[in-house]
Amino acid sequence: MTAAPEKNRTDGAVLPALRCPACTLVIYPRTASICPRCSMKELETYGAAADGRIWTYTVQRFPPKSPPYSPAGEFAPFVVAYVETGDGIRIEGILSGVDAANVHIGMEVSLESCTDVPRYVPARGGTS
Amino acid sequence: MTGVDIIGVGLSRFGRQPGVSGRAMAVDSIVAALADAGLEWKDVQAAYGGSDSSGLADTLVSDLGMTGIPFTNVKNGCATGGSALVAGYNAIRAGSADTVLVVGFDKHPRGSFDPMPMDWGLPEEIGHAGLMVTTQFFAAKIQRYMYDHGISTGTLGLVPEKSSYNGSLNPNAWRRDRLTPAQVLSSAMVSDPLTQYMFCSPGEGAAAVVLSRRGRSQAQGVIPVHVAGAVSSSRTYGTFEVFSPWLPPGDLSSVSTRTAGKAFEMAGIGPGDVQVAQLQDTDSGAEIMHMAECGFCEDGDQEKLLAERHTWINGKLPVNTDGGCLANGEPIGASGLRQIHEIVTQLRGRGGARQVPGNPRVGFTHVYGAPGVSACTVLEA
Repeated sequence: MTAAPEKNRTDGAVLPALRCPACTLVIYPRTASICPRCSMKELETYGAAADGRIWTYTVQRFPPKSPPYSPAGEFAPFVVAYVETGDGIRIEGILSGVDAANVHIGMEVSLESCTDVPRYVPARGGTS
Repeated sequence: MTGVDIIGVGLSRFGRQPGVSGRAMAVDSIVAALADAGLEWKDVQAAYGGSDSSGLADTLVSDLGMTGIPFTNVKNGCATGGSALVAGYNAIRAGSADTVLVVGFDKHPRGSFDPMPMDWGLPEEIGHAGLMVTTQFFAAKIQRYMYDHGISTGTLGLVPEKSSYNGSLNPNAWRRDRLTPAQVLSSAMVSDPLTQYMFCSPGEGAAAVVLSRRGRSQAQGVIPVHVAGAVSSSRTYGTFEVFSPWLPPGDLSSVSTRTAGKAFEMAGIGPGDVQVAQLQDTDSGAEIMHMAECGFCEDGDQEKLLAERHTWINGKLPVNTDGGCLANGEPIGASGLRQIHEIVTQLRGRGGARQVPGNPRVGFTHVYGAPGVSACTVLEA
């Protein structure tokens, strides 16, 4: 993989993604070895802007079985969302900082971190 | 082209069976299928089978008879039974066997499935964080589908109402109590918008099918059912499948759509010709979406069709007449072949209390499994 210039994402976190130099598709995660759309093998690393709007979501209401689940403490239901970004792709992440009852399709969210999986929070000052 | 018929089908008991192993259930289903075909194990020339978590199907020869035949294990998630059927069908078409046995079985522990990311080529962190959960996918997919196509929450309650009624008519079903839509909707939320009674449970059971080259003389009393189409596919770019950390841009399709289309093309008919169907009912939403994906209606039609009881036994397109995965449970390896068993039973007119009226002649089966596999058959009396 070669490194392409990082995308101009300055607020919040950057999603460690890939980009296909042949067809420009942005791909996540970086374990992909070929472009899923055009099968190009030489993918570039790419820091993607991953803020966007919720495309769909659900709420995980029961503790997943361990292994592989490694909870931090006592289980609490959490929101799983697919977020549609500026590149048009949808990224699966965990959304916190909002009551599950207030989550809806179209809600604006920001990527807060991506050290393990994409972790989102409601967008600051954004319209819901 | 060599034709293929189903000449025997058999099931084990479905549901919790303490002290009975998945392998024992597999043997029961094979014995039943062979008896149905008027054959013995020594007549089988090749076998295909699978189990997600109850062992290797090919080791069953030590319980059936070591006749030296090729016995290939199949592992395609919830599509295993369908995939194994397609493999057996292709063996006969290739001329490598005239009589093939296909078996699927599983005995799952209580609770949700616990897939490991590494087995699916995914980063470990996804499992640690709690994103390796099949129920999340089905919930997220139906959530978006409801938003796009105007399906209401109430409609999610109608599928288990119908399937539990069918289960009450099926002596072999695991769950035989009828559910009202109110009971379904008020049961515990598992993964919004899907409640407990909207989901199938990982279960126990086995199913077996005997395939024969068409044109061979059969034992007296055997009613063959013709396999007019049998196709399996893996996913292509642009689909929304289980275990997807990322989805591509644009409108998303499904591997089921492509697979069903190929099965109909092979059979030379269309969805409108089908009179009884089995559609993967992992949960209410899955059955609803698969109706459109397999071509039986347009997206959004389900709201009206289900209100009209279109998919009930007396409806225009009976779906999952034995209660499906919702009433029988989901023993992963078995379900695709349980579907075949039910369609064959219906086309032979042996459905008893749950027989579809009007002498159905054309049936269809569809399975879907992780990470985006589907298998469909078209069966004709």
